[in-house]
Formats: sequence, structure tokens, C-alpha cells
Amino acid sequence: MSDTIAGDADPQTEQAAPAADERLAYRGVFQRMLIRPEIGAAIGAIAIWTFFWAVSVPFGKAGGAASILDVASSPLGIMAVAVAMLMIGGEFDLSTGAATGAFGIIMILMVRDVVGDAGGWGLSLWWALPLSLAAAITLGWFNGTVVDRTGLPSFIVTLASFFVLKGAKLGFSKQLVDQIQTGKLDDLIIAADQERLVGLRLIDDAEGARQQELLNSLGVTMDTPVEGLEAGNGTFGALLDAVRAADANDNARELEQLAELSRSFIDRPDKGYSTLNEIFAYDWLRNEHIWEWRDWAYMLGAFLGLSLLVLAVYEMHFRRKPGVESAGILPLCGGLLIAVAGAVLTIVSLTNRSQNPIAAVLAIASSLAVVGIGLSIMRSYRHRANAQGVSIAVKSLMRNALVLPGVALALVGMWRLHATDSVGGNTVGAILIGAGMLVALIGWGSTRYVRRASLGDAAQQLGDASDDFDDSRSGSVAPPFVIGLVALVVGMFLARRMDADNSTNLVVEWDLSGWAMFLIALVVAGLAAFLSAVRGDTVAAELSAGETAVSRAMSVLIGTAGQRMRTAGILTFIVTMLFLAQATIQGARAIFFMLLLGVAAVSCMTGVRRARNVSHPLGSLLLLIVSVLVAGTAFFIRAESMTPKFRTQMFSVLLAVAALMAIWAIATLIFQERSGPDHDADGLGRGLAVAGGLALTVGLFIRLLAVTEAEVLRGITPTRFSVRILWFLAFTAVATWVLGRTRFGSWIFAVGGNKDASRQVGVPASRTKTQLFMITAVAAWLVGLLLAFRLNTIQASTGDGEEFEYIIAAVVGGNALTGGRGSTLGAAIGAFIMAMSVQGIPSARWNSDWRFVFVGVILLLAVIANNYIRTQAEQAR
Amino acid sequence: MALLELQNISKYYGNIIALQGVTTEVNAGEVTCVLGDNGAGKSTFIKILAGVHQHDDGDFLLEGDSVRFNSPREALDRGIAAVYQDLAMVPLMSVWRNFFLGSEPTKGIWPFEWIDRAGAKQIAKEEMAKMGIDIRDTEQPVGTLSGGERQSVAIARAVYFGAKVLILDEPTSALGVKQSGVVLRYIVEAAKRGLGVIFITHNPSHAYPVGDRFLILNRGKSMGNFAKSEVSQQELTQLMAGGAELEQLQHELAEAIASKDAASAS
Repeated sequence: MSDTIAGDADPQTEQAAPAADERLAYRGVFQRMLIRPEIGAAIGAIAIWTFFWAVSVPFGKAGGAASILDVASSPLGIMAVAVAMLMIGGEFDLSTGAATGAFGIIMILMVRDVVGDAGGWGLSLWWALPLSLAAAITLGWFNGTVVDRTGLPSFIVTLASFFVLKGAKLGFSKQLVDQIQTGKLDDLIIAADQERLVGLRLIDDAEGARQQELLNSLGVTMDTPVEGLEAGNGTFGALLDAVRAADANDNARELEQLAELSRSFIDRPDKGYSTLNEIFAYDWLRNEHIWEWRDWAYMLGAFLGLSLLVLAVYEMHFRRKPGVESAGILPLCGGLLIAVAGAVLTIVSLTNRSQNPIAAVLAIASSLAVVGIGLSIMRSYRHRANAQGVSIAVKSLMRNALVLPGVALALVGMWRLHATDSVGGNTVGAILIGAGMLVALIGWGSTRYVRRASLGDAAQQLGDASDDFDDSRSGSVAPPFVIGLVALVVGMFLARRMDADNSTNLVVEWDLSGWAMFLIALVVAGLAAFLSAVRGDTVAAELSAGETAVSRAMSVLIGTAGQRMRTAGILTFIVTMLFLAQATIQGARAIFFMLLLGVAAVSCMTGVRRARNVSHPLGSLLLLIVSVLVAGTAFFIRAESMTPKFRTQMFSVLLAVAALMAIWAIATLIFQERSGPDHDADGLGRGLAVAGGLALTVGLFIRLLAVTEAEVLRGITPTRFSVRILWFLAFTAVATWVLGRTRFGSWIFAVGGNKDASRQVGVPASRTKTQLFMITAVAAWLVGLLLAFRLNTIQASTGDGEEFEYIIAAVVGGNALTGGRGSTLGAAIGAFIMAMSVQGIPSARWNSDWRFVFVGVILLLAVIANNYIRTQAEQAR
Repeated sequence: MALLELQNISKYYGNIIALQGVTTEVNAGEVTCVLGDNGAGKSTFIKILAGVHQHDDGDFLLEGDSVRFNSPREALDRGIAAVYQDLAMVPLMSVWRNFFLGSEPTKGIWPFEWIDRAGAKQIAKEEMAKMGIDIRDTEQPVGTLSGGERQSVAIARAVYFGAKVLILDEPTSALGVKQSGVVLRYIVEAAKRGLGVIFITHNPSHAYPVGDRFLILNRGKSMGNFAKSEVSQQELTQLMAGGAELEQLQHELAEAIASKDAASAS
């Protein structure tokens, strides 16, 4: 953040920018976003989510989200992130999958008391954890050192490690325990611990017995050796017999005493199992956490997050007024947001104390820590950034009378939306929210950004543009826009038609077997391929030779359609038809509708983008029209759809999208865009975007993690969230920070991008690579622990062959196979995409074997798309 | 006293003589050019200076001390920085990250150290400006810079990290005429700032205008070590190609051209 005091004569970086490298054209905010490696994955993830959301019932619900998160987090996510770091460093590790299982097995074997004939270590978990970690680090060191010393390709070396691990797992498991899996983790600990065994037996036989007295009368105290009890004379058996015989009087006081006694046995050291089980395998039971304010918090989070994201784009897109500075706003917003999030978390954890005191204390402590972090960020920035910056920020907020009323209006709208359930109430609420956001955002903008000369000028410009509408450039605006409209109308028509039949199954309805459908799909796909092979523009050229208006219009249409077909036709038809063959009418309808909506959206946005090149006001106006269309579609869906998720969720999302589009269109009509870089503004924009994303995430998590009284009464399906999600988030956060902000992260990119060069300038290349292998192995160890605690036992084959899924997730997330480029965030998103394929296909009630086809297609598409986006973005420099 | 002095330096790879009896000196604020054709031993020469290889014979004096470097890091610590032909740049990384690669300024306490990004960008921009290059956006990847700009980043980096002796390995070989001129200007600029510059090239017309001292290598042997006043560009070219050999070559060329003319005439 710049600390310069506002009010300098010429703070505009873009004005001061030298003309030295005029070859580097200024890139707008959207182009700059596209250059990020994970952006393609993020768009893909949203598209895939929407697709499955439309075609499968449980997908949009908390249970579906929980299972996606579960699959995405571990082992997939953690490993994908680690593998991504390794890939950025230019190496592969094929032993990761086998390693996850191996470290779980090693840990369990260390804890066991008796392992087959070979004996066992019977270690406490507190020892087994660091020891197995040491084993993991050793494996990483071995892989790294061998790769470095021999100079062999890492995938050969780690392939060898993979087979060694795989063989060792099988061999040792068979030799030691005579089966291909280890015994159970909790059982083994219990079996190993004789005292605990006694405690358990006492509990088993204790109900209603006067045990304390009997024990005393027999002279047994807590210090009596267990061996004595178990000895051949049967003292312990006699005790139990006596307990059973005396099982007559069951008053409350005796029960209490009994419970206490039993607890004193149970609470004896269990080698750390129960504590560690909380840490590695804790489950958050959603249905036990009732919070009436949940929807409020969710809506606030979504509203705040969206607003901040819009502000971020504003800040990166528009030209600042002279004297407007970033100082103060970012820390204020960021710190405030974190503090609020922490406070919400605190309230949640206070109101929902779980049965386990450790978990409750941990939850409260961590939430308070979050509050503290937020406050300290605010405070530290206030010290560092000049006080003037903060006061300017506050003043600029205050000076503008529109922002606060706008926010207030939106809040009233939200309250309205929440309070009523009628259509009228909802509409009023939605309109209020939209109007509030518009007022607040325009108000915010008018204090910070330079206005266009005047709206009159814009209108004038528009008039100029429509004068030369016959111009070749403006001619290319209409076709995509028209195609978009046609697609939208056709989509609506189809949706209506298909709804008219009452059948639930298309295949029966059309009286065709699956194979026939498949053949039809192939024929259609072939036709599409043929059409796309015929170059649309040549046909168009021939047609346009004719002079009539009809042939000219057709030429334009065919030309554009031909270009679109080439890229989209084949795949769209194959995928659509294949799924149609198995889908119910609801699903088919959804697919059709979504596809056509997608085509409509893409085409319309293409039209808008081209219109921008012709004249700015025209683009903005077209965008406004699109937003009206989107709103119309939302209402169509609401009126037509049978499923509640389309009626409510899709409706609200589309309305929100329409509102954002309209607001953006109006803003671009009023304010001037920047024409040069402004790092101060970009920094603020990035901060706002992060804060917005955070707010959205917090809102979403609140929505997922709690239930309302009404839902409980309705008897919703119980959902549990595993603590491994937190491990995944933490791991990703740390990895992202390390990669982007530390020297080590810089070196990872350097050794992946150009190893010799980095060595020459003093980067310890070998050490960096070895450390990367170690990090991967440690991630495998962590995953092994999570697996061991979750599953209680580990098969010898657990994890084998999954290394490719990790690599695929990383590649889908935008990591280059050649190294030097990528992101851990992208890998995490890639893991989500993989998890969605795992969960989505069965939940849409397709055969889960199709998953592999899906993964293959996704992988190919992701690589192509990433490549395409990258070259496009780099050309745009 | 010379900043860096080499006396009868020799290097053998097994029974191959890579370098034998090379003597020269580098003074602060002066440019010493090392000229030689392909395979003359230029690479071996700079690798000894930069600490990649060690000399087998002779004396290597840095500010009067006899030294022998075991790694590039040691040489760097003593102020000898090498800018290699392949530039030691990572094309996908940004300008400022490349500028500070291996020596990033950090904030915080271990293990919570992070790179001081704002500071690093600021310094990179300023240092580049001192060399006369205006990089508008230090976030842009080095791969998008032109060859000359990349050289300038490398030179500015070496200067910033306190190099006393700057070794430039064929900085102009892959550049066009104009770009080469720009890089030659940076070389003079660096010398003006008090560095001793060793400029390795096989192009005498690049070396002569900027050099103060010339060392000519041919097949691992020194063909001479001259101050600028002692030698002309013509002589340099002659010496580089091994004098007599070049004459022989010219003779053969003339014959070949004559026979070609004769063939086309008939």
C-alpha cells in the first residue's frame, strides 16, 4: 500500500507512466484475471457444479456438499496441493498414492501390542506419530536425493519407490498379521491396554449393581494389579459373579457411584487415541447444531461478499479521481470482516457446544483467535498507514450520502425477503436489495472515480455508432446476439414442451432402447462433425455473393454458426445425447435448458464484448438488455419448474446475476475506464476481492454447518462434516502462502522454470527439490493418518494407483506438466472437480463407471482450455 | 594494484589442455575484453573466475589475495558476479522476482519469513532506472522482455548485489545491431560506476569501442594481453583467428570465389 499523502498534484500512475515499453499494451481487469493459472479451473468447477446440480437430486443439498468436501479434501485435495507444488518445482512423484497407505500402516503397526508372531512395538500414539513422520521425511529425502544425484527423471525413480512401497506393504502385512489389512486401530489400542479392558468389562456387567461395595468387600482397590484379578483363581470372575448375584437394588446413588468407578477406569491413558481421534477424525453433526439466525448470516455473507467483489472489480477497472488513495480502506474492511467472521464463529461455537469439551474449547479458542487476528490487523495497519489515510477513507464514505442509505435499503430488502414467503413479498424484497446495491455502488463510485464527460456525450457517441452500424465491425455485433436470443427462446420453448408430457422416462416415452439412442447420438455427432468440417465462412462467402438481403443474412448466420460449431458442436452433442439416453425427463429437460442457456449467455456476452469495441455506450446498453433477459429467464424458470431448487435457488441466483449485470452496465455508462496500470488501486482491488471471497465462504459455511428449528422438525437427512476438511483448508492456505510469499516459494518456481539459471544465481536448487519431495511425503503421511483414524484399519492396497488422480487434479487446476507455472489454489479447485465427478455421477443415478470417461474428458478439456486461455492472455499483453 | 589479477592460469581436463598460461588483469572502472573464437577456452576462463571450476596452475589474485573458489556462491560473496549467456533468468517469473532470485529480502522471523514484495519491487524498479531502463511493470514475466532488456536486468542485478567484478559471457551474441548497442552502453555504465568488467565476446567490433584491455585466447593459449593503446581493431581480429590461419582462410576463400566466377562466366 502506498503511504503517500493524498492530495498530491499528480498521483495518477498512469499519467506518470513512461512511454518506454509501449509494446506492452495495458491489460484490462478481466484479461489480467484470465492470466491466473487457476481461473480456468474455477470457471470449470462452477460449470460442472451447475450441471450436476441441475441433473441430480442430492447435489445441491448439505449432504451432497458434505460428501464433495469430504472427497475433495482428503486424500485427494491435500495430495493434489502437495503434488502441485512438486510439479511447479518440475518433478513428479508416483509413490505418493502408495505412500499414503504405507504411512497409515506403519503407524498402526507401531501402535499394536502384538503383531502376529513378530511381536509389536506397542507404542503410544504420541510416539508413533513423530516416528512415522520421520519415516515419511526419510522417504521424501530418499526420493529427492536419488533424483538429484542420479539426474534420472523423477517419475522413473518414484515409480521404483512406488513398487517398493506397494510390495513392502503387502509383504509385511501378510507376514505380520497374515492378512492384507492391519487390525483395527481402536480395537488394538484397547486390546493392548489391559486396564482399559477391565474398565470396559466392568461397564458391561455393571448395570444396576452395587459394585463399589462389592469391590471393597473383596479387597479390590484401584491399585490392585490387573494380573491379580485375572489370575487363575478367578478373583475377577468371582467379582463379576458376585456383581451379577447382587444385582437387585438399583437406586440412583449406587448408579452414580458405579458410573464414577467405571469412568475412573476408562479415563486411564489410552495412548492418546481419544485425543488424536478428535483431531483427525472428528465429525461435525450438522443436525445437532441449531441456529435460527443461520439464514440471516448466510444472506449477509453473500451480500457482503458480492458487494466487495463488485467493488474490487470497480477499483481495478475505473479511473480514479486525483487524490483518491487506497490507504486505510483495505485494512479497515479486511480487519473488520475478519473480526466479524470471528465473532460469528464465536457465537456459533458458544451456542452449539458439542458434547466434547475439548472440541468446544478448541472451537471457541480458535474463533476468538480469528477475532483477535482481525482486530490486530486493523490496529497494525492503522499504525503503519498514516492516520490521514484512514480518516480519508472514512471521510470519503461519509461524504457520500448515497452509500449508507443504499446499504440500509438493501438490508431492509433482505429482512423483507426473510420475513415473508409470499411471491409479492419476495419480489419487493428482491427489488429493494437490487435498488439498494445500485444506489450504494454508484454512490461509492461517484466519490472515487472519474465520470464520463457526460451522459449526453455517451448518447452522442451512441448516435455516432448507430450511424455507421453498417460498418463491418458493428455488423459482427448482431449475429452472436441474435443467436443468443434464439437459443434462449428455443430453450424456453423446449422446456415448456417437455414439461407437457407427464412421463418420467424419455427412453420409454420415445420407445427407443438405449442403444438406439446411442446410435442416434452418434449420427447427430457425425452430422455436427461434418457441419463443423465444412468451413462455415466458405459457405457464407458463396452465399454472400448473392445480393439479396436473405442470402446476406443467412451468410452471416452460417458464418457465425460454423465458427461456433467447430469448437462446441461435436462434444456438446455427444455428451448431451449420451446423457439423454439415461436421463429422466427432469434431467433431460435440465440439460437441454442449461445447455441452451449457456449458449445464449456466451453468445450474448460475445455480442456485448464486440459492441464495446464499436462504441462503449452500445455495449453497456446491450448488457442492460441481457440483464433484463436474464431476469426474464429467472421468472420463466420460477413459473415453469417443478423442482423446488429451480424455483428458489436457480431463481435467486439468476436474479442476482441480472442485478449485478445491470449495475455493472450502469456503472460503465457513468464512469471512465482506466487506460494504464495503477498498482495502488490494484492492490486495494485484490484485497477487496479476497475479503469478498472470504465473506462469501463464511456465509456459505454457516449455511452448511447449521440447521434451523424448522428443518429439524421437517426431519432433514442428517449430515456430518469431517474435520479433514479443516486439515485440507489449512494445508492449502499454508501451501499457498509459502508458494506466493516466501523465498522457498520463489525458489520452487525458479527450479521448475529454469533449474540451471536458479542455481547460478545462488538458489540451492538440489535442496529445494529434495525439500519438495519431503513435503509431498509429509502430505502423504498426514493423509495416511487421516485415513487410519477414519477407517480404523488400512488395506495393504490403500492408495495404490491414486497418484494419477492427484496429478490429474493438479493439471486440471492449471499446473504445467513442465514445471514453473501453476498454483496450489488451482490444484485445490481441481480436487473439487474430481470430487464432483466422484459424487455427481452416482447421485445423478448414472452408472458410476462413467466417471472415468468423465475424468478423461475433463482432463483433456482442462489442458486444452488452460493452454488456450494462457496463449490468449499472453497475446493480450 | 589491480582489482583482479591472473598470472599464468592453467586448467586441464585430464590430458586435455583447456587453458594454459593465461595472464591478464582487471581494474576498477575498466573493461577487460576476452576475445576468442569458438573453443578458445573462454568458457573455461570465466568458469574459473566465477568459481564453477578451479585452476590447476598459476595465481588468481583478488585485491592482492590469492584465492581459489569452491563454488559460485563463494565467488559471489567476494564480489565476482557472472552474467551467463543463458542469462540465469527464469522466463516465467516476474522481473522483480528474477532480480532478487536467490537473495530475496525478507520480513518476519524464521520460520515465518516472507518476502518484502513492495520493497523488492521498488528497489528493482529503481535499480533498473539507474541503468537507464524504464520497466513500467515489474510484475511482467521476464520472458516477455526483449533480449537486451533481459541483459540489463541481469547486469542491474549484479551491480545491485555489490559486485566488484562483473563477468559478461557473450552478452551481445544473440542480439541485433541496435540491441547490442544498448547492451554495450550498459557495460560502459557499469564500468563508470566503478566496477571491473570482464566482457567476453567473439566480436572485435563490439569489444574494441568499450574495452580498455584485451586478452586474446586461441585454443586455450593466450595470444596476447594488450592495453587499448597497444593494439588496433584490425590486429585484434587478426590475432583472434590465429593470424596466419586467417590469411590462409582468406586465400582459400578468394580461390573459391574465383572458381565460382569462372564457372558462372563459362
